[in-house]
Amino acid sequence: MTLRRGGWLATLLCAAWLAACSGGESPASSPDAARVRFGTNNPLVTFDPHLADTGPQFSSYLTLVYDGLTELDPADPLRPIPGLATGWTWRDAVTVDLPLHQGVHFSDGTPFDAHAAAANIERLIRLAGPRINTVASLQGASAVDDFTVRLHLRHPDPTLLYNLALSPGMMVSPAAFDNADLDLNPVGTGPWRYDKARSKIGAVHRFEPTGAHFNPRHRDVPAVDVHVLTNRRARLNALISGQIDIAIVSPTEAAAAEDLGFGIARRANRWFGFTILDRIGERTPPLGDARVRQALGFAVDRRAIAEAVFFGYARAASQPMVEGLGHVPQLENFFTYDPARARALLTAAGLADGFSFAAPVLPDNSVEYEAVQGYLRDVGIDMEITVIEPGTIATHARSKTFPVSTIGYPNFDPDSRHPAIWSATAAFNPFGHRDERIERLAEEARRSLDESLRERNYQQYFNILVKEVFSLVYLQLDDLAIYDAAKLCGVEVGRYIDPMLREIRLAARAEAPRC
Amino acid sequence: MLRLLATRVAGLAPLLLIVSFLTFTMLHLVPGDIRDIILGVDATPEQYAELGAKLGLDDPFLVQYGRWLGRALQGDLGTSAYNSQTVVEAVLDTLPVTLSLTFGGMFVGLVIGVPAGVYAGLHRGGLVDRIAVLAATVGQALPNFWVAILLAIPFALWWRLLPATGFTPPTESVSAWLASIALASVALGTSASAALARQTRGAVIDVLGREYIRAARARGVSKRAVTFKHALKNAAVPVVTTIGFQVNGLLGGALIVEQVFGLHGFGALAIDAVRTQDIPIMQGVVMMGTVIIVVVNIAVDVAYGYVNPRMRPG
Repeated sequence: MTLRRGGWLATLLCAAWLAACSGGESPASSPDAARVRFGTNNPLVTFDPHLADTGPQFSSYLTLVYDGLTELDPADPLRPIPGLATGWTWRDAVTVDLPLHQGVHFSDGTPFDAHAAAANIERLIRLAGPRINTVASLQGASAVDDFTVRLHLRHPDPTLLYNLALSPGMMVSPAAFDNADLDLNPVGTGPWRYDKARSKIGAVHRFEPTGAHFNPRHRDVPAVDVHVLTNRRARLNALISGQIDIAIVSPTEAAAAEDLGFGIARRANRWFGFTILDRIGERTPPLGDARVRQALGFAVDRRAIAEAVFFGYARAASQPMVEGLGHVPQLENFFTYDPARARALLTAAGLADGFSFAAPVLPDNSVEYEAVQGYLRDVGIDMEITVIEPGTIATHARSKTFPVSTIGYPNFDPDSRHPAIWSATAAFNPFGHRDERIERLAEEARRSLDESLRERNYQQYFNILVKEVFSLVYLQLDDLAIYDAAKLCGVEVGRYIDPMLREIRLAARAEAPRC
Repeated sequence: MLRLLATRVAGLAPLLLIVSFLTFTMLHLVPGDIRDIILGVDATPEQYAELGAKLGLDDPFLVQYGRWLGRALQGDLGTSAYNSQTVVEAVLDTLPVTLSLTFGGMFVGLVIGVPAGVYAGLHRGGLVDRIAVLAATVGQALPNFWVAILLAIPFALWWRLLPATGFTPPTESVSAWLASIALASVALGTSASAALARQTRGAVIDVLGREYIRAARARGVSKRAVTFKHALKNAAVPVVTTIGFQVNGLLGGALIVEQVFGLHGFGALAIDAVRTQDIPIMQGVVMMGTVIIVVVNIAVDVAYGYVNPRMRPG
């Protein structure tokens, strides 16, 4: 009898639990219907823009609560347009005046003016955060009058206004400069204010619209929740079950979600291939020969990998830059799938029997590099894959452990890519290969305000780089966002991995721009 | 009992010291460099060197450990290497998630495992017993994360009865809290219930074969009285031990299952901390994990004494 009673008790407890569970709000009837719920795999690092990197920190967090003097044009996210500045005037090659919007206040009530803007620029320089090298030309700033700030440069910098549209150029309330919790409690002028009380670090960050942004285009933005879901499967499940409305995903999940009828936004932002670190052949002598490096390019069937591994969310390519500065149309099909030519190049280099080298590969990228490995094996090149820990690519590059790197660098902004990858002092050039031609071309281009000169120089630059294979590009890869197309509109992937959250609107509010 | 508690608590300090040193050592052996993560891959050598000096990374290993230990002894476990979130805040934020899953899993394990084990033990060789043994074998063989994925598909994706991801604190809504941990608890509880069923069944069978049980029956004590008054109480001793083991196992299992359900618990915190080389956070996670395990073991010892007075010290 006691046993039977115990069994009933257990059954009742289970039933009560299930009843309580199913009695909770189902995802479909969520009161969050008026919110944009975004699933990202990138946890918040800091809300202090002057100490933040760009990439997802910029696009998923900072851009919601801060404004820059300039911002990126949603239609062309490499082009700076006025932000808190209403425009700009170059007084000479190293001085620019930016008139500012009036009547703007930070979320703590502090008025935004030229003094605040100048103080921010000085703080940016003083703190020397991760992105300071992108605005290294900045010497200082001063207030011309209450609503005009003047930037002083050490040398001409054609990319300054672009880089000021990213995290370095975001304006923080000067009253909050010394706040110990500024990194977790932002004070900006952005279209949203951060709801710290209802957020949980590492899990969800909630942003409420202020409704009073200086730019009318950002006054009707919906509330945004950024859910940190580092597991890919969990992110997809959350989307399918209606817990989130939009998520960044890999090609595998994108293909599955597209089949289920979700909207998909994509932008080719990164390239896939190798950067040849040992171009001088110090550790792996064959890689010192440009013919051998070219053989690596002709040996691989790019289109097959794009279809089979990336489900079509990639396209065959030969050059690092996509359409825009540094893109050379003639190089588009420089490498084709031609194993016979690869073997001939190896034979000409005295390597008819092939050679071997080791490549560091992140666990998430192992499938695509195994595909490359198979093609290279077919022409006699033995690529040994060493799986490395996430976050160690730069460490391995610096330590010269491997002759190549497999990082997928962004395919735009050659001005910042040169010092990072190909210059004689770049972190991704640990063997110190120096090519005077590209040094000169980049140096001229990076200090010139003459767009035609910049275009010409970078075309020559990438002609050398692609044909002599400093980096070997196989594919241009899409960054992908899948979303509930019935709920959201205006969804586009930006240049920094994530969707441009400022542009997303609820489809139900059809009057919203970009819907 | 008080002496037992005092001994165990006193033993906690040297244990934490050893664990903190081992953790610090292992984290230094993990490949990678926090500077690469903070600065990004475009950092200049100057930035790299400057940050290393700021974080004290150029100091010898023992100096770095000593610095951490000195602060920890003053009750300051530090802040995240990335922002101003204190280690204590990070741990306390995530603890409810993992504890909810652990005890949810234990609840499922107890509710299913113990009654099944008792029934199977009392009806040894019968159909139910054979089914229970088979189910327990399968239940123990199934990885928690796999069960979690299998559960999520129908309950969260097809029927949307329960959320696929996320955690709601019980302070916000008890029903939403139960819903948020239900699938993960069942996934975790599957192996726990299997282990408990096997152990309970074995213990019941063992006790029923003891001489004092046979003697009681010979004295004419009813079967029901023998079972509930003598057999089950004595069979509870090894079961309590198993429960202790299972709680520790569930804590570990929760770290994996959290990933499947997008729950920001200890597991997510630990994995992120290792991935980003956030040593202060990782130290905090390990310290707190150690304390929890010690507390669970003390609780098991106390329960042991309760079910079996002969085990009470002194």
